[in-house]
Amino acid sequence: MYYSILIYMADGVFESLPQEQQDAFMEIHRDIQETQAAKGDYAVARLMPVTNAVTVRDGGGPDKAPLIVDGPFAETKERFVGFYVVDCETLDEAIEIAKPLAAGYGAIEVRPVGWGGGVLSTDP
Amino acid sequence: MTEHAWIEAHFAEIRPKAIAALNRQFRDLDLAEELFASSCLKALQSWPGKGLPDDPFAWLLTVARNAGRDTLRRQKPADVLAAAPAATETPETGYIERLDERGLRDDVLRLLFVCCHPALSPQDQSALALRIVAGLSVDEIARAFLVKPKAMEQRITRAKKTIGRANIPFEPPTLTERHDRLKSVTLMIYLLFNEGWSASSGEVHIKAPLCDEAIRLVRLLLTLFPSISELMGLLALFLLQHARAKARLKPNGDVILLDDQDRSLWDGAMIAEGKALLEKALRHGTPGPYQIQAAIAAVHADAKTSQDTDWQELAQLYGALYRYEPTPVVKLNQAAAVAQVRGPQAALDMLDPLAEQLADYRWYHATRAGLLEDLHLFGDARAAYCKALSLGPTHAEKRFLADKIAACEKNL
Repeated sequence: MYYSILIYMADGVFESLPQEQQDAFMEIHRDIQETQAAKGDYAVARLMPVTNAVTVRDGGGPDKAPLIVDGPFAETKERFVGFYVVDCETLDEAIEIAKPLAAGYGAIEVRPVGWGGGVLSTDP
Repeated sequence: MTEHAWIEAHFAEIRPKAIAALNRQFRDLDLAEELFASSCLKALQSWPGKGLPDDPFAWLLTVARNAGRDTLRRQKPADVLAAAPAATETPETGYIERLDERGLRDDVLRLLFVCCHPALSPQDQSALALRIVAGLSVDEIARAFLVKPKAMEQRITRAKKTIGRANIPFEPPTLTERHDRLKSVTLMIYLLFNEGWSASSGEVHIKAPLCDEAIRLVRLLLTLFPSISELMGLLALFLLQHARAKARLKPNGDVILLDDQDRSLWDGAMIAEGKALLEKALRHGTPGPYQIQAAIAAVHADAKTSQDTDWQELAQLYGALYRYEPTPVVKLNQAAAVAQVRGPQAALDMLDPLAEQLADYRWYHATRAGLLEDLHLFGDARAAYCKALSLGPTHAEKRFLADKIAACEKNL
């Protein structure tokens, strides 16, 4: 079963951490990526800040052009900043992978993947 | 870098936040500046011997706050202090509070809005913000504005008095006022970044903390005003420029020009973010000077080597920028791009009419010198490099210019 590990974090928190803590956090990510790569299929994406995003929204009917707006800028403290898709036998296993990511910085949602596909190059 | 320069770099990093915090506490810009300066002086006496404190910001702020309380105790009774005018209360307090509500309380941004008080002319606002927030000396600001230091000193003093006197009506600003004020604040952040990007003088050529601070501030603003394309353009510009930071200086602090930089040292993630943001901004169809400058930076970022640079596109973009900002400095940059497309003589012809306006601008003379050198007019090139050297370059630039002068002499 594939599990997605969805990472949420408040804006600007990561950037405001001291450099050593940022490095330590990136080290956790590198660990996960190396372990998962050794195991087989996995995917990872780090999203740019939400200020770079646009939202394509229904224009209000089938004959209306969709609306393209800046954002999303929901008044939420935590934002979706990135995700993994990992191949695990059990939910517990997926939770173990997610645990170090939660350490003090954000909320991690672990959700089974219904269907997955596609290929990402590591050098966007 | 000498130990002194190293400590100075720390001061530059700490200054905006410290001044902002002190101004919020004492509500007096002059006092905040004095206190910060004197605590830096104490640090210079203490740190070289004892080593850097764990938290230099806390150290400086504590020393400054204690000194401030002592000063006030000597000067005025406690109740006068309590009744001091709230210089930090501005019509913007409202939307700055939106930051507070979201846990993004920010003293520096607040201070920028204070410096952009509508009672001040745009030039006074900029001068004040450069003095107070970026910590430039009066001489440095005078050079940035191409005016005499004496005039600049009077202007800054007047600006501080105006802010001190002003009774700011506590009304919500109109949409236009809000727009104007935001524009001023954006300009301040731009100037702050420029000062960090290329220090106007002194031993440290790049003050990266000022660039980082400018990036942080514009990110905050963009969170507050997510649909303003020029704000996106400004952040894109900063990211695309700052991505080159690691490639810009030799280990000894000497400047490496864009053409000679090791492009593998450029920060790919920052470039990607900058370009994505610019793309999003351009979709709005409301171009402006920041977006055009970001587009210029993106052209450089796209070139794998200096030879791959699309100079034709750059010459056009500078032409477009000139329509928004018809300044001799933009013309100067356009000429540098034109030199690559149509040769040094065409560029020199564009530069000649600027001679009077840019007589005291060292980049004018350095650019001209480079073009003359390309035409093998080494005597004239040498003279122009010497002129640039006489106009207060940073230490790193001095070495660069001295090398160039020596090379010209060899070819004479």
